[in-house]
Amino acid sequence: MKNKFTLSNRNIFQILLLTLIITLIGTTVNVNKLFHIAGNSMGSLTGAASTNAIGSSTITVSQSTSITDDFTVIQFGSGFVNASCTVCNMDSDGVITQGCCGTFNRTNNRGFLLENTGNVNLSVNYTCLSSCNSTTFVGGTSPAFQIKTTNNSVASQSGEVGAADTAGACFGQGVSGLNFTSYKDVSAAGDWLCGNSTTYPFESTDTKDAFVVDLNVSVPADAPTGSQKSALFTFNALATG
Amino acid sequence: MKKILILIGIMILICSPSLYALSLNGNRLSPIIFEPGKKIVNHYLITDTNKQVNLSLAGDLLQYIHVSEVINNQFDLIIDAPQNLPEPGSYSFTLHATEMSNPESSGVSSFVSVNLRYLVEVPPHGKSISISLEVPDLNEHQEVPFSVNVISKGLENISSLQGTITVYDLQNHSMATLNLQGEPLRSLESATLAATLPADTLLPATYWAEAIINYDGKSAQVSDHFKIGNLNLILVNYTSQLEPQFALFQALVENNWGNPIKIAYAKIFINGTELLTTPTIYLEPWQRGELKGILKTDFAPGNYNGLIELFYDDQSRQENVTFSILPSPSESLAGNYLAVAIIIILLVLATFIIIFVHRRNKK
Repeated sequence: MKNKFTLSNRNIFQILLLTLIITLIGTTVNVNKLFHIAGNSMGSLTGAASTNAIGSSTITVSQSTSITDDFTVIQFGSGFVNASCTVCNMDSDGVITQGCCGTFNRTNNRGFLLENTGNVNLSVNYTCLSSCNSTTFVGGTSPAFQIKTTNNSVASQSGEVGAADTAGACFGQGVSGLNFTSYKDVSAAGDWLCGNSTTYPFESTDTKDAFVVDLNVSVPADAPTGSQKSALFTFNALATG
Repeated sequence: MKKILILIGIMILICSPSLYALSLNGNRLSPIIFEPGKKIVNHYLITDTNKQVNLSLAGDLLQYIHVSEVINNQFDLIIDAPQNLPEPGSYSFTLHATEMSNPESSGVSSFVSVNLRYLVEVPPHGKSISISLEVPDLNEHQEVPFSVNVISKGLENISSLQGTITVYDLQNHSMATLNLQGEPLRSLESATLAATLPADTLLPATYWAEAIINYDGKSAQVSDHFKIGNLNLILVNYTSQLEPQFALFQALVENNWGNPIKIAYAKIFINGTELLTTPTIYLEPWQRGELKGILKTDFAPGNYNGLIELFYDDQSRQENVTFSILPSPSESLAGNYLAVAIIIILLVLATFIIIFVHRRNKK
């Protein structure tokens, strides 16, 4: 069968000629544009400024002092200590003497996740209102109500506003980390968790800007029953103003 | 359908993570210089919270400082310095912004507060300056620029400002003197006095410069060290005491000029025998580094003449040193045992002599 679209040598020559003409026109237009930009002189086509006008520009970056508590309520729940045990230990980092803690349901059992979401270094302390020691919060024989801090690069608690941390927080200004990482008693007056009133090591760099505040509660078998107790923590971020 | 949407909305609210945040946005003020009658107004924006925020101030000089009412989450910090300033010195005060918490809430919950600590300087009433001297480390054959930054810290203007810079070597010999001339300096303002030492005035070495600034009959001084460097690798320290048989050798070296040394290494000789060529290291300008390797030290314990040949870029130089080969631990232990045995024998002999003399006296 004869092909209707066979190209002759003449047709090919015409197409090539057309292509050449389009290329030449395009090149001419582009070169003309370049000459126009360069002020009709290719030799002057340069990045150097050629006028003497003086301009100035100013920018002021404001300080944003910001702290975010990504987890704000810890609920150990209500329950009782099993008859076979003398105490039930519950920790917001997940540790629990499971066989002793009866029906404590721990519906919201993670630590407070503090994150520096501003652009300046901070120091952080806490204060506590209401039932702020083991006797008033739990009661009974040898109760415990304790607090500790852990870098979120270690604790890996989800919920950071920024990227998840890959390095320890609280290492700015030559400080070697959080002030205490093992449990100590909660008090109403509180304590410095990172830095102090004059040193601000809690950095705002996204990869090292969060730490977790965990609570540990030990409920003895003879703890008084009754109304739910509350402890209201305030985390105070401090920076130079 | 509407009920389903409402239910979904409620579920989202219940399941959304609890999150409290508080941000204070405003320009940094510290250090605040208290000038007579000066008024400072700094504007702040409170963001990231949906709670009511309580503002309070604590600390020094609170009679001159207050905050405006919070309107649309914005407020001003206002500082009104009095005409008659308080005692000169350093003060501080803190602005507290705290989320209003509900004391009736039960369980263990948390809130956040943001606090800004301001540093305030009340300048002295007369004339006072603080000065700083800057002089860079340079290579040989370069001019040496000196720069003295003068900050007027007092409330009175300074009418005359001049001074001198004297350069000393590390043996405290005066090497050069330069004069500094300045303009009058207004209260609480700053000025820079500069001078340049011509190239090749100083040979490569470490020097220190002292600037003395005279102002209206008073003076202040400051000093700083600087280096004139050349292409050289300085041997700062090395392992002179070597363990027998195999020993770790370390040499601390310093690049003595303001350009990198791309290749630096050392060869170690004892009694003319090459024992080690260290791996090469790269040194940034003025940087110190460590050349190290393992030596085979088949020598009897004692002191030996050694040589450390330093190679840096296309140059080299030699340092004559002394190495001490330590006795092997077994030898030193044997020596210790021998000493202890001799002491015990001497003690036993002394005891026998005392007993013998004692018995003889009895007879």
